[in-house]
Amino acid sequence: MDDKIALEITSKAALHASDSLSKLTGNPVEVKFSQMRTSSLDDIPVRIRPEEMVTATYLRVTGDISGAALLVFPVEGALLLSDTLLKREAGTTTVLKELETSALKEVGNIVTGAYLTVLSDLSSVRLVENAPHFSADMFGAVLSQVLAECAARAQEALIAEVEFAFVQSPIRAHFLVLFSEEDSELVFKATARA
Amino acid sequence: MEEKDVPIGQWVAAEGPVTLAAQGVGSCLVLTLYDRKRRSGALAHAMLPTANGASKETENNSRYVDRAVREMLQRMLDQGSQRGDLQAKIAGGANMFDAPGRDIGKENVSSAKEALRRENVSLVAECVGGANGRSIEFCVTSGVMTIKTKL
Repeated sequence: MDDKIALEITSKAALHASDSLSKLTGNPVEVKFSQMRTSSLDDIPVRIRPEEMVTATYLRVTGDISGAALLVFPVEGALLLSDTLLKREAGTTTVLKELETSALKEVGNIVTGAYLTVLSDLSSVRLVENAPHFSADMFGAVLSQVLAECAARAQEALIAEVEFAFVQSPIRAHFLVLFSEEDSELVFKATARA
Repeated sequence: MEEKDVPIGQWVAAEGPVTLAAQGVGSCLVLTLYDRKRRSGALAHAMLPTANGASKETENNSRYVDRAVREMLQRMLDQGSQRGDLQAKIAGGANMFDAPGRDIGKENVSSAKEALRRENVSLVAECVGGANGRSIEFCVTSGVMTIKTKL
């Protein structure tokens, strides 16, 4: 993937996501994506240990191509984000129940939706994000299930670090998008032509 | 005691004071073989149920439960184990997201049981399914499998 195109996609997606999250929280929030990198599914370079507890929102992608997106927060970040989303004082949330889970799923929806919308607009390839699914468990356990579901088609993943810059403190997450090599080529070549 | 981590898509056979470990196992399937007489063992950390349709030359064989069982068993037989002395244990096969559609964890468990039946190796213990991840340790000298779940 061309660096310039990748940067254009993530910059626009960040603006969309910032706008949506600011509306959701009622406070200004800036979403920043790091450069998206391509990585082999056998060696996902995310600095989280397999046993570390995380929250993960997983969305299947359908449309003209198929794939998946995953937004992963270290659990401490997810608790802090829940406080912000639910307008609570920082440190209030200690357990993720239905309300917190639903709020975190919405963030997964927003980030994935922002990225796919920009990608779809630029490439004219139809990309549909499906209902989000949530898990709070060991990083290795949630990642491996998504990899297993995509392994038959995808060989590579696009990975970016995402920072949610709230007024109080930044919260970091990892965002993964998985398409097959052929589908990636189709989308990014169409984007380059646009 | 030496500890060896077994990543997804690999299997390791060992003898002596060695613990084989697979961390953060979700829908993947961990299968161990233990030779009571030789006090040796092996652990596979497989991702998908069967290698149907996958190319033998280009695919990583051990990512598939059926191929991993066959290869690991062959290695133990080559090293002097008798089929009748081997005991199998399985763990993993969870469904982390409770998403509708394909349940890979369940398929992995079925594939492991089918492969063991086909190879005539007895399954002596299992801790499978559910919606929680597991970290698994297998002591090669004792055959004991220890499973850690974070709730």
